[in-house]
Amino acid sequence: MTSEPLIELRNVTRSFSIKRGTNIKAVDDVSITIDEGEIVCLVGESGCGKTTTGKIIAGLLKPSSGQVLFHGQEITRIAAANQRQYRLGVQMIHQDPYASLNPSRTVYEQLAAPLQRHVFTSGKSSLVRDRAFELLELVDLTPANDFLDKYPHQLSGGQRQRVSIARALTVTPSFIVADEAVSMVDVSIRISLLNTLLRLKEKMGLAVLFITHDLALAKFFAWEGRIGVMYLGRLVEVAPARQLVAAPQHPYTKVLLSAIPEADPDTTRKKQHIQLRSMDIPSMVHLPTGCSFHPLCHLFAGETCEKIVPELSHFKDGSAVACHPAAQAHQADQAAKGG
Amino acid sequence: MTNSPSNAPEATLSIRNLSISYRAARGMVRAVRSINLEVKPGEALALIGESGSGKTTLGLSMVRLLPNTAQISAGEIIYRRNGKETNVLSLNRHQLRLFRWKECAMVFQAALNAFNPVLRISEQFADTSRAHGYLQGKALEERAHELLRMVRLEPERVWQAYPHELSGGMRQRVLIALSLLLEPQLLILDEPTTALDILTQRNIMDVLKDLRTRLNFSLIFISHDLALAAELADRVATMYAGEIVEQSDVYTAFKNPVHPYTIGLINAVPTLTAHKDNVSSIPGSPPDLINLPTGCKFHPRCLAADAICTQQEPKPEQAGDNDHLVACWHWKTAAKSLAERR
Repeated sequence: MTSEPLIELRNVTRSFSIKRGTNIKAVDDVSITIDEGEIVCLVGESGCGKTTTGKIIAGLLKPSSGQVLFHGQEITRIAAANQRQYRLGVQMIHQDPYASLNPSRTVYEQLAAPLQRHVFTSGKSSLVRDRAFELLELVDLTPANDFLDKYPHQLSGGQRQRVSIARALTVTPSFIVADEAVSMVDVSIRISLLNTLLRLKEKMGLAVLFITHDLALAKFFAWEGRIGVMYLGRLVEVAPARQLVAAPQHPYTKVLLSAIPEADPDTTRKKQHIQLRSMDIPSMVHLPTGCSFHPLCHLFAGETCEKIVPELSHFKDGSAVACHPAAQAHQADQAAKGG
Repeated sequence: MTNSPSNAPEATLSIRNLSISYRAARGMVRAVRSINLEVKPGEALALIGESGSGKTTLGLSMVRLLPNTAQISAGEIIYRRNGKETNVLSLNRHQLRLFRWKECAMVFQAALNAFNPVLRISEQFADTSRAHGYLQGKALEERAHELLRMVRLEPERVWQAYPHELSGGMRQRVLIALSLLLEPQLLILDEPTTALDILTQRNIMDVLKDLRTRLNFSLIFISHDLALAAELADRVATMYAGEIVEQSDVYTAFKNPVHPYTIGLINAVPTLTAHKDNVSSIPGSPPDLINLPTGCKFHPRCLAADAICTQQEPKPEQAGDNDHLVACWHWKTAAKSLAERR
């Protein structure tokens, strides 16, 4: 490796205490790196820890153990001056554009506040307005002059989310965490919003962590990037996006992909669904021993799965899987190809 | 049935020329405009469209649950069972009570809010049954347990539970079981799988498919999820700005849509198999229902629109065979001209 990754999580765990002194690990021993300009989608069902992971990366939550590195420096240890660099370098776009913008401030005011605080700390206000104008054009809110003096309630959901993106860009970050950023936007305009983000990524070299429950959307957005799948707090599979969808390795990923209906009556009605061993989805509170997916798993291979928590095994093709049988299968496959 | 009258199967539900508006401070919100729709016995109809397209308003009107601010300005809703016609909009309070649940039941989007939080599941069933003068005691328990098993729940586990003790998917299945208690002939589901996890969603879909083959009721489900429609529906009606712009059988809807909005909507949803470049949004955003555009309501966002579209509103017309209806001036050429412009 010539350069260090932009963001690195090393064995990050975050626990929360819930009633009666019970602790749950919302994020359990997650390690992942994200390079500059890279897109990574984190997918999983509700409660799998994807949002908590996003918040830890954005610095909004501290890990209970493990390390978060930004440009190779551990973020809890870096000096105050660099802390600021990290805070500005990593920005977040939230799910709900109806809640994340201040309703009593105009679009211009939302953008001007961070610009005045961090970018144009002295100087003329005309510069601030010019920059706000530029930012709106960047996120395709044109003609920008029509939008600068509007209040959030005068905008549609999609337009508000564009304002949120523009606001995140005020401090020229190198990394954006977008948590379900399009799930509250009308279906017909989601793709144009994602295309705007993709264009910005190209233009500004942004890296994006996109958190979603929709695998098809993840494949679209991370076309050139990677998808990570989380299950009950653990990262169970990471692979280049198209590869993950076409040739999933972890049984949980396989189950998810087989369960998703498709917008084509022929395909979706002929689709084979993998049957789970049980329909009792385990919870964080009563986490199964060993691999936490083993009670449901169709690849269940006995004692190893019940007792030993599988680590993420990394392979040459850029994929990684945390599953005993799947990792073995992959290695056997590689050996067969090599020999 | 062999002993039924020999005429062609009449629609379970016929909606004719229905228009509904809401009173708002700025003016009238025209949520549903001149809708004509039929649901045949045993048929599953999907109402698809984006938020604000009027899907839920239309669904609520079928069981007369519209809020006070709503006003039905025109049209009628006819329900039929065994040759007997019921005019839903003219039912009085007492008749409405008999109609709901027994003839037509609706399952709402937020499954937790639909239960009384302080009643056990057994009591929810008993409550409903009592209100409609239906089974009680042991007979009710047997019937309810049979329904719970049909939705793939273990009756022993959920019967004495409170709603908050069940997961979202379990609650949704209990609600479906409860809605079928009085053997309605028509079931309306509003976003039945939204906000549920993928595996739970799969389970609900399988349950619904299974129930339909066993019980043969008519089903209307309201969803913005096209994949759900592709999997469960026999017919699909696409709504835009309060209107049904296209309706057809499910295969035509997905393989040969002719309305530019249906085409656009299908192209706007990424699928697991689609190439990235074949997915694109519809330009613009949905219209303000208080100040609707002139002519075709979709024309400001339509790449195939021309002068006539801005001036005159197209009426639904027959497109090919198979009861395929479309409201577009250019439906014959729309698919082709959209493909060329992309």
